[in-house]
Amino acid sequence: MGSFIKGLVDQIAAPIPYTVGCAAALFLVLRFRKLATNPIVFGVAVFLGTALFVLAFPDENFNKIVTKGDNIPIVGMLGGVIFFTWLGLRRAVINDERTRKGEATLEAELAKQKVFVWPDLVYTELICLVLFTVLLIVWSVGIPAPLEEPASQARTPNPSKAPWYFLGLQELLVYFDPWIAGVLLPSFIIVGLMAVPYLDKNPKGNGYYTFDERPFAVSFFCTGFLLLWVSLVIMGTFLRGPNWSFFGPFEYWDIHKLEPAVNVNLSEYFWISWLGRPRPEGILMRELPGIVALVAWFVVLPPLLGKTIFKRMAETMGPARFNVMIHLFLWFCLVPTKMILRWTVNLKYVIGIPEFFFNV
Amino acid sequence: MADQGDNHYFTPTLNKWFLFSSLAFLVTSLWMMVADWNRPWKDYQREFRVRDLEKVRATLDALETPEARQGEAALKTAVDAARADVAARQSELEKARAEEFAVKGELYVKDQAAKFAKADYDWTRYQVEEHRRAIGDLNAEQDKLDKASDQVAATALAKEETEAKYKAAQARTEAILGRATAADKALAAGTRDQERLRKRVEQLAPSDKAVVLANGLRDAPGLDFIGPILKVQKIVLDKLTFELNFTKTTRVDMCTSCHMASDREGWTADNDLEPLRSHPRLDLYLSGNSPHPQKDFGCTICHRGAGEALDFVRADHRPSGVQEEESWHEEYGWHKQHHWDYPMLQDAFVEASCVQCHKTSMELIADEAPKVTEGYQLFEKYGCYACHKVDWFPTSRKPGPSLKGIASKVRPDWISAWVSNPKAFRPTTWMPQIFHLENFAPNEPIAKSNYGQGPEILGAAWNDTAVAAVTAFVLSRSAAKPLPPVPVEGHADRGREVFRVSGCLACHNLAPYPGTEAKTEDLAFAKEGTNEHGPDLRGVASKVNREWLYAWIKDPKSYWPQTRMPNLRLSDQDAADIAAYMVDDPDGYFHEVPAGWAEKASPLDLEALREQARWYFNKVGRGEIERRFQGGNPEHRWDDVETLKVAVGQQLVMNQGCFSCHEIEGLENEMPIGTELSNWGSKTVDKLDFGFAGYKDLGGRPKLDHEYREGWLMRKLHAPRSFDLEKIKNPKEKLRMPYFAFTDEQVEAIATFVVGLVDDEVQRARMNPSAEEHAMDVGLRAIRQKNCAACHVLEPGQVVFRDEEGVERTVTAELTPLESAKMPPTMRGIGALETWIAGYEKENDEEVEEIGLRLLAASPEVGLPGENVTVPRKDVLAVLPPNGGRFVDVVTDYYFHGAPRFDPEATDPEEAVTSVTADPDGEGRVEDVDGVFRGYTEEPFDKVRWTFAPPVLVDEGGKLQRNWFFGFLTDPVPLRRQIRVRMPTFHFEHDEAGAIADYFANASARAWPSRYARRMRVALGMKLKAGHENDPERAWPQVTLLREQSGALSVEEVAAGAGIDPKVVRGIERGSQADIDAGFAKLHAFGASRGFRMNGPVDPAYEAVHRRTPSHLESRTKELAAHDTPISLGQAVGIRGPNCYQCHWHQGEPPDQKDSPLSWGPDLYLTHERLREPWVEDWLWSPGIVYPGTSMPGNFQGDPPQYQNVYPESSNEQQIQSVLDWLFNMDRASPLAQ
Repeated sequence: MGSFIKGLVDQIAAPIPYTVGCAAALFLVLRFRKLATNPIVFGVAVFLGTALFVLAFPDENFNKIVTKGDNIPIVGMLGGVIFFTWLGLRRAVINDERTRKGEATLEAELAKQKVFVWPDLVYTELICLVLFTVLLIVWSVGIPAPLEEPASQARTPNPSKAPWYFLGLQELLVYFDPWIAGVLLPSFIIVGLMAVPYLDKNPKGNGYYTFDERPFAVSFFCTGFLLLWVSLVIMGTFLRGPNWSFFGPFEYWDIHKLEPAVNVNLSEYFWISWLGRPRPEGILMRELPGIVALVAWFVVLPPLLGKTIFKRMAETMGPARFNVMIHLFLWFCLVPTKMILRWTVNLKYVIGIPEFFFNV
Repeated sequence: MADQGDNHYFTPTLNKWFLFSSLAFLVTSLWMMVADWNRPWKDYQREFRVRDLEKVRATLDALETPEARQGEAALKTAVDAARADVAARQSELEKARAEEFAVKGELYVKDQAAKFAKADYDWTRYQVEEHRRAIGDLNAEQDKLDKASDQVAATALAKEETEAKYKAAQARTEAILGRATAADKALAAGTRDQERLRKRVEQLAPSDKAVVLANGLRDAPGLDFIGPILKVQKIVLDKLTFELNFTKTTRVDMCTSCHMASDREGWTADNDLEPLRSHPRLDLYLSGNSPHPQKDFGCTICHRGAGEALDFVRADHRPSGVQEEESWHEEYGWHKQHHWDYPMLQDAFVEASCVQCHKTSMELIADEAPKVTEGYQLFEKYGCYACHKVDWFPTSRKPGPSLKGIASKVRPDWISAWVSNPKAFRPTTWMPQIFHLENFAPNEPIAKSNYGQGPEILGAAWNDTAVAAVTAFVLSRSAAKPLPPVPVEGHADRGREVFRVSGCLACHNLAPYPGTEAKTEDLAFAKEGTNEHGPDLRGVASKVNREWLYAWIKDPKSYWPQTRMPNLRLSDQDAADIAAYMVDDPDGYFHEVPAGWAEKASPLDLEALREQARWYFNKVGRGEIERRFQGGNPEHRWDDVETLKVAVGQQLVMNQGCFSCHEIEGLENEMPIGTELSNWGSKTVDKLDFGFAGYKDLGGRPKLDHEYREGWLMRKLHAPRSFDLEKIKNPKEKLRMPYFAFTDEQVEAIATFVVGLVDDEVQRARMNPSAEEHAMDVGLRAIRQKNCAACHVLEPGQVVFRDEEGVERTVTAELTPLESAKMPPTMRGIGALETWIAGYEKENDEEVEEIGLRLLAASPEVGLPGENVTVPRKDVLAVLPPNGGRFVDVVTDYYFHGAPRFDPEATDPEEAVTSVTADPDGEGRVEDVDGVFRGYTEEPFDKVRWTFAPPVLVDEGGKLQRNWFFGFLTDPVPLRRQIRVRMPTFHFEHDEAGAIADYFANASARAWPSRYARRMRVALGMKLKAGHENDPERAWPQVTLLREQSGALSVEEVAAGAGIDPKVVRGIERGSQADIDAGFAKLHAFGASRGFRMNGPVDPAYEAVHRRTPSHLESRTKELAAHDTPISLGQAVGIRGPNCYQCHWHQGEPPDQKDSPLSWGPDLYLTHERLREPWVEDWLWSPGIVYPGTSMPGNFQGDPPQYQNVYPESSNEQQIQSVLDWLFNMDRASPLAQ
């Protein structure tokens, strides 16, 4: 029974079910947020989750990965993410309810009250500081630094993992060329975050939690942060093993595990599979389908979207801000799109020009 | 938020939070400090201090015997008396001191004045120089300079005078204090050891309470950063590095933070447990005067592990087995340090570490590191190096016989059967099994033929076909030279004798097959040691024919140029006789094959053969292969099965690497197929494929621990292809290492050696052997390769017995034959001896109560070499066999009894074996080299042994001149012409012959000091006790005349005489190099002063023959003015005296005593180029001491001296000197006038 469940969990933890499952869960939570943020429901969910964790704990492979010196704090932080997501959403739900009834939001209630810097701010900060130091000491004495072997160019650790907070990015390396996954996408994240105040002039939601007033913004953020960042960090930390192969939480990290990796470029699909002829010699001609697709993605899609789904948004934002926003959005969408294409049709690159180290 | 007043939070609650968090902070900070302070190694250091104190106190108590106390008290009394004496002269002393003080003050003033004058002069000189240069007048201001100079002289004189006064004053004081000072010094000298220990006690357990408190503070938490007593111990190893991938850093070992006692003596009691225990081999490791002192070698360079780790788990300690692993896990939470690549070596493998420094001296460390050297030798014997490159390995000779002439040697069917399973024919062969192994199991489907269209090919068919193909290929590459017929007719009966006495059995044996009984014991001669050097010859005539055997025996190199089989230079008749004996096989040895062996062709499955072609030629392409099968390619007519067999056979031979060991025509330049092992021991474990076999309990072998490489390696050696188990592989990918059937011990030894092949961390500390050591290493290796020890005794045996006083004595000795036996009892261990004696008692119906032994080396408490000692049988505790010379037994046995003939038809086992000789009259006589038949059954053992058996090589380097020795090895000349055993003509690689000669010379030089010391102690003791102090002659090692005077000098007497520590004397006698360096010069001076003489040591290089120099001859001529020339005088003494030519050959002429070769001696004419002078001198004085048991008589031991008729009024010494002059100038002597 136990091994059956473990096997099932390992199956579910494979990249496609895992990512699709996470996306579905996020969708359901947001869609049925009232139910999901009910303290009893949340309490039961937390209890069940904890119970599963405790039950799984004695498993050798599971235990090894969650109690690894590096991973213990990540397990703790995951709890934090869940709790604060719940808290924010719960308050948003309450606020939305109150707004519907015509009452002030919770935060507005609280804002009526004035507080002093001392003791309300500084004193509590001091206490937090001390308690946090205590936590750090306990942590560092209790769990000694997990040192590894002396570094060697000739013999890198397997798996070679980035610091935990970059594991999401590292996961992207599976799907993108390093210059996109490692340079372009992180830059867009930073630029995009910096651009938020200029793009989003909507005053709603300032200083209080709400979902109903900002459905797109909140869902977009949750997708970006929870799905494309946190869930990939979890995957990178707990589910990626030797050779960056995928391992279920109860699976032994077998260094010899093989994964088929026969990926195909779009140009090969186009010329060979569909037209049944060899690929043209010229690079431009060869990669024409990819170039067309990419141009379409970034040139045709924005006006198309502006005219259809994002019509209202395009109107309120004005062309300049809308165009910036929609391009950032399309870059954002490129990530899951490429992932899905990889999983479904083994697509390697849309444009693949290894001659110039240019692959998209 | 009712009662929070103006604040958001309630301040008293915050205060409580603050209190709580501050307390938590305090507690965790303290915890941190204590956790940091209370490290596990400190407990061990505390315990060490307590235990050390106990030990020091115990030693101190042992020192403080009543006598010692009395002595100390006496010394103290003397001090008190002296002080009282001084006190009595107090006023005098005070006055003297006052004077001294006053003069001291005066001296100070004068000294200052002198210094100032000197400084003033320097300053003046500078000013004058500058002034003169400025005004251009070189004589200006001379008076100023002179004045300053005068001042210097005057003050210096005044200072000198005062100094003299001061010394006189000091002397006066000292005169008064003198006795007290002397008494103090005497006290200090008399109680030096005690004082040292008392100081240590005071250090460990201070009596001063303040010191105790201060020490406590030094180790207190938070304060222990200043100057703690308990501190991390580091050994910084400047010459050893630690590989950090990017760089090499200095190696630092902190192991001694816990292992405090590792380099100290005396921590060996049962309750001294690790880590507080002495290293078990302090003589070799860690101690200051061992070759591997701790400060230079540390710990981890040998043991591995994490040297900078300070707790048990992190140091990567290694449990010795599952049991220990479990107990460690419970006790220390032990687990493997996954990220540490250099886990500690298990004790079983620790010798591996010797290899990294001792690559060029593996033979020299054989005694101290037997396992790894055994591994090294097995690695060579089984030819591992042929497939697996080891960059420094000393040989690249192909270990298997050449196959270039195989067609003329054996039949095709024999090759097939042999390749299928070599051990089926010869269970002891070192040829491994290559086919029919576990990854090609008989019923395992290997491939589905014809690209999955045809039938399944099972392992059995695959292998049978492969063997057939390999056979066809090997034969196709062999020149089938027809062998010429044997030129003379051979006689099997004579062949039996030649086979026996010419030396075949030294390297070969005829061991019975497992599960069968030996037919005659001695031909099998126990299956161990030197006679396993060559292959077991049982069944060999079923394999090869008469012509091949004859050709091989006559000249092995013509068939296989690299063979180790030497050329015995047999006559055609002898060779033909041996071939006849083996092929006609009257005794039934050479045609007997093991049960189950059948010489048959391996069955061929055409479908399998074609499938093999498809796999091995897959690069040719599918269509082309099928075309060839149809005969469509005229160059590859694979429709012809024979052609296809050869083509596939070649691929199989290439794939399995047969050419690595065997020379095969056309495959001489192929690369070996095995992984290079030059640094296998540094290969990280994750690079090893444990497959599925590692998870299994295979054939009783435990599961493998994936963290360690040794287990993998041992599994590989036991079952080389087991890592293919349950793997899906195509036949070309399958593992190829063959199966050697190693025993567990062999596997462990080889694994130890291979684990020791590591990336060096010791470049700067590498042992660079001296020229001497290098020669000895190469020499030892060559001696092993050439199997010298089969015929020659290299080291005599030893006997351990309890003497009359119950003291255990170990003497270098041999057993002498018992009353009714010709041959002496066996020395192969006490158990074998008991069995031998029991057999003897039964046969002769007598009870053996005493055993006789003859000393072969001076053993001061027992006697001189050559002395016979009788020991009650029950007091013989152990016998240790000599190193080498087992063939001597075969020879002597033959001369006494003949060769055992076996009658395979006989029904009665007692009658099945009879002894025969080639005597045509059947009288048991033996054919001598001159063709005459003589009987030796009545002769004494010693005579037969020294006449017919190969000579012993003890001190051979001291005896032979290096150049002659070298020449003899490369091209032997007949020396002892009566001996029928042949000194073979060997094929030497590189400088092997020179190295053998150098080895013996160096070994003699090394052993000489201890031989000198031991012999001196007895000889001098006898001489002095017999009252011959002033008789120079009796100082020579010959003390035959004094044999009745027993009693050696005691070690203490010698030590006192030589002025050295008795411990050093014992060390010298034991041969300890450190002690020889420390005290031998003094010991030698002592011996010389008392008139003890013993020649040597030899100079390992060539020595000029002093007696051939014109200056020597000139001075001798002057000295012997009254006589003839020195050469002719010596000649006269030699010939008219004892008549050397009676027994010795000379210039190729037989000795006068022609009728029996017994006691024939070597050709004297060779002396001047063959022997070293000092050795000959010793030999002439007393042959029985040099070679106990020899037939050479001591001719110059007469009292009064003999031969004064030839050399009037000469002493023994003078006679010997003149004979030496002759011997070394024999080529210059004119014929002796009759």
